[in-house]
Amino acid sequence: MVKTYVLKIWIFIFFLICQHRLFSQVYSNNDRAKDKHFIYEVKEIDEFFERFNDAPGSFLRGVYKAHHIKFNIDRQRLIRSLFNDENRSLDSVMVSKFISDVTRKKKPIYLNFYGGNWYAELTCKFKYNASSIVIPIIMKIETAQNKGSKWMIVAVGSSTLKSKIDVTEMPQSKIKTKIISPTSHGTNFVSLKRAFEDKENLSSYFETFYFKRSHMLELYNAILNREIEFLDVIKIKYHFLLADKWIFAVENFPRETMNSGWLINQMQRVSSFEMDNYRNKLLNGN
Amino acid sequence: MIPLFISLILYSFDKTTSSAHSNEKKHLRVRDFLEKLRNLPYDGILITFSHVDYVSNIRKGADGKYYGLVSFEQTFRGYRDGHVVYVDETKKTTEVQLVVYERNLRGNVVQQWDVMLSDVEVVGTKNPKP
Repeated sequence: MVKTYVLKIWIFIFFLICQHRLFSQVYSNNDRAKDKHFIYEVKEIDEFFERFNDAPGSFLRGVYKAHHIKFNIDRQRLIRSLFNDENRSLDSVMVSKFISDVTRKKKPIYLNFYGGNWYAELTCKFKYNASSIVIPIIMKIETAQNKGSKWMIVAVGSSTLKSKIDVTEMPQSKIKTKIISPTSHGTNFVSLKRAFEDKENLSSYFETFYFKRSHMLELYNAILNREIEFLDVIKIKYHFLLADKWIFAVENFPRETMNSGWLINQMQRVSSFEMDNYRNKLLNGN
Repeated sequence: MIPLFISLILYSFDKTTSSAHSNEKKHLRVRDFLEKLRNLPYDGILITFSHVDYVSNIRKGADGKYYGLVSFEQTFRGYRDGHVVYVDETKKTTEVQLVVYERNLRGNVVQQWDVMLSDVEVVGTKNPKP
């Protein structure tokens, strides 16, 4: 709680200083509808986890508590609200089965941020040969020995990139504590720009075990040789592989309805064999 | 003022900016961002905030620091000759770092922590409805 207050104070200080030589800031309430939208929108993937698991300390529960309103939304309703209700191709029967399965009384299924069965697929734009190129990058949360975590590049999708391969073995990074922070997803992975500029420690951001995967070596060398320059992340899609039978994809829908933000837009029930195939395809066929 | 602010933060972080006139986001270092803000063609600006903000769980990084996210909405108004000439609403997310360290105070080792601002991302900008 103390940390939360400190964070808020820092945000306040930041914007106070930003208004140098300008009017002093006025914190005033905007209309209630905007606040309501902000409350129900799934703003971050962290909040998606909170709602899916009906976490006791969730933002939504906190808002209800602050307004002295009894929180009587059960986990089934919370999960149902995480589906993109504007996607008519979502099979409603399958969605109901999924919700029943993950909320069953005996051994309910929860999402684990550090569990490893979810991936971020980033559609990245790079400057390449005086024009731009789109390269898909797959990232995953990995846990270190100190029980801290970080985002790591685990695969690279196909593109028209052709790079000269000079480095075939992952070199040691100079500073071993260089990481892509475990909250980088919240800022659209803007930290990738800094990571790709850090040539001395470039290997810190790539998963060594998967280094020889197709396209991975090519991207690494292209960045190292300054053949490409990272511009932006155009789109993020999260893939969740759950309990050996459910696969769903979460995307961002920034719209002015309550059903907005990070929502499930694809879902399928699969066998464990199909799940392995899905994972292998996502991780570049290896 | 700007050098003072720069000295307060851990490193020159990236900030994305956008406006309601353009969907394109620009990555700016904090110094460039503050200079740009200072040079805006307005006599004054007013920024108001929504009453609610979202603070994520604090997560420990593999580098030993702690990281959190704060999401909030703001309305920006640019004034010229006392009249509003530009308005936009922006949703932003900021990464915040908590750096934990030990300090020796009169022979006692005490754990302390600093809070640092990191990357700031503009999630979206729009013109508010009249």
